[in-house]
Amino acid sequence: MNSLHVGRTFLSPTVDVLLIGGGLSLFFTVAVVATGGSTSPITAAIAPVFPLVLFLVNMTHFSASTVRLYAKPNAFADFPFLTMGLPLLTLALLSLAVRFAEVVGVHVMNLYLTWSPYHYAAQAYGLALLYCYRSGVTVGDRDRVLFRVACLAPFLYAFVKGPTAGLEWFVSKAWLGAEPWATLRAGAEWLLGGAALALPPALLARSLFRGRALPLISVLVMVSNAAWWTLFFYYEAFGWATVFHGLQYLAIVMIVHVKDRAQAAGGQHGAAYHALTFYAACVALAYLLFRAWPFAFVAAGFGLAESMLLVTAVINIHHFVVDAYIWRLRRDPGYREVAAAPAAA
Amino acid sequence: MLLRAAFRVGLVAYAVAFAAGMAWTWSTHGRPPALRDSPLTLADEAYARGDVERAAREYRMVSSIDVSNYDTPKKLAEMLSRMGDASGEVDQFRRATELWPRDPATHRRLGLAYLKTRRFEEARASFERALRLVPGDGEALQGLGEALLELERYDEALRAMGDAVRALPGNAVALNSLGVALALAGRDEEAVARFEEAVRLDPQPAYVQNLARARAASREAKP
Repeated sequence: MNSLHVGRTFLSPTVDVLLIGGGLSLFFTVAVVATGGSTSPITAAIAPVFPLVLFLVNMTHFSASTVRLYAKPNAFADFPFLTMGLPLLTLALLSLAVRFAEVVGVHVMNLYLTWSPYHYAAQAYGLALLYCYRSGVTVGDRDRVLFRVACLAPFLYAFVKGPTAGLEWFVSKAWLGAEPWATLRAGAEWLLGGAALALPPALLARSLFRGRALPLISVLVMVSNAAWWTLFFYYEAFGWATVFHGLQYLAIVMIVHVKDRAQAAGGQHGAAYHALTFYAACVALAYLLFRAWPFAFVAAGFGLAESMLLVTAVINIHHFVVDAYIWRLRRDPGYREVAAAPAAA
Repeated sequence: MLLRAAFRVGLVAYAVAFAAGMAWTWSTHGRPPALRDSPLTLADEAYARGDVERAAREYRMVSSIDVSNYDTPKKLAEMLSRMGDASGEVDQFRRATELWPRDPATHRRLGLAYLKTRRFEEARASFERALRLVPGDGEALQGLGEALLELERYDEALRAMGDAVRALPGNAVALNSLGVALALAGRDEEAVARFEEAVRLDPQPAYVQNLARARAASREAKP
């Protein structure tokens, strides 16, 4: 394709662009930042329902990866470590972190905070490629490297900028504050922040120049992720980006799950049935993991602070690991199904 | 085989943990875990019950584990302020400003905490940072005026306090502060006028006393 095109969408161009592409988040990010960020009236208006939104979207997206893993045909045989070993390792890590919260817990927390932007970058990369494949746009090795660089730039920006997570986790603040490191760091922030925002449109321009226009939705996915991490301050990004990232994730995982189920069940139930049962399972698991689990540690005598924070951190880390396996693009039959380009007419 | 057996044991452990968590909240709160439950809301509840020790423990723990969380140091600072620990308040607000340098309110609160600990130069810098983010913020201008007054930079203090009075119309505190600054600068008649306005708005003893002193000074100054 030689001209601008949205790409071949899953549900409809509007829904895909707004939810999976991150169009909605882009409007929201710009509106919140333009009206004062944390002190924005938009933030204040949403504050009363934010815990519910966070639960229904963000917390549920974490449990979605677990539900998806165990719902995959032959999951135990194909992923013995992931399905049986990792939950035990998670339990052991959590117990250790809660018991030695001030020594181990702080590093578990920092691992989760540092890994998060990388995980987002990986999701943006996967989705951008997915829409290219679906749209029949050929992506060569060089293109993939460029996609990777564009998607990783926001992560590198967040890593360098911090505060506290990323670079500051490894290098002392005093050292980073001394010259010439402080100037170098500030320069790197500018460079990476600029690259994060400039690379996706540059990739689009390159593709047009080469006569193989990228789907706009692929570019939008990368732009949204860059906007979350560069326009929001790190901590703000953890509030809002998690919601939009979760929305994006839930949409795509449900599409893949519904395709899987529809094939396996031989059309006994409709797509809505599979989508709703999947989401209901995710909500129930999210409640048990995020709401009930921390209180088990409180019942055992630990404080709610370390219990709740470290449960959240460990669930995040579990999700990052599970995701790294279950979305291996070319190996997942469900992914192959949704990524398939339309047959030539 | 071993992994499968260990996994089954693990599943039981997970089920027991979930059940224990639910049971604990039912027995202590008479309800299942709620979406709004968080270490900070429970710390606030503990504080409201008068369990300051429990509240402070939760805040400190959140603060030491979730090092990126901006709300915690801010809330901990507010609690320390209520407990009268001004230097602890300074530490926590300073940490909050490092985590989120874009929040003008936190810079202003840090400025006020510096004023309490008589670190006037740092207070001035904090108020100026708040004003760079929200130019014309009346409370920050007032704080800046007070810091400058303590630093004996009277002209700048008078300018800041005059701006504060204009930004906060009908604010007795701002009028009283401006009155004090004018009196210290030897402009007794103007001080009397400001104190009179302050007393009219809020006839509290401190303002009445300031008015009486300024009137006396004004009378003495007249030939």
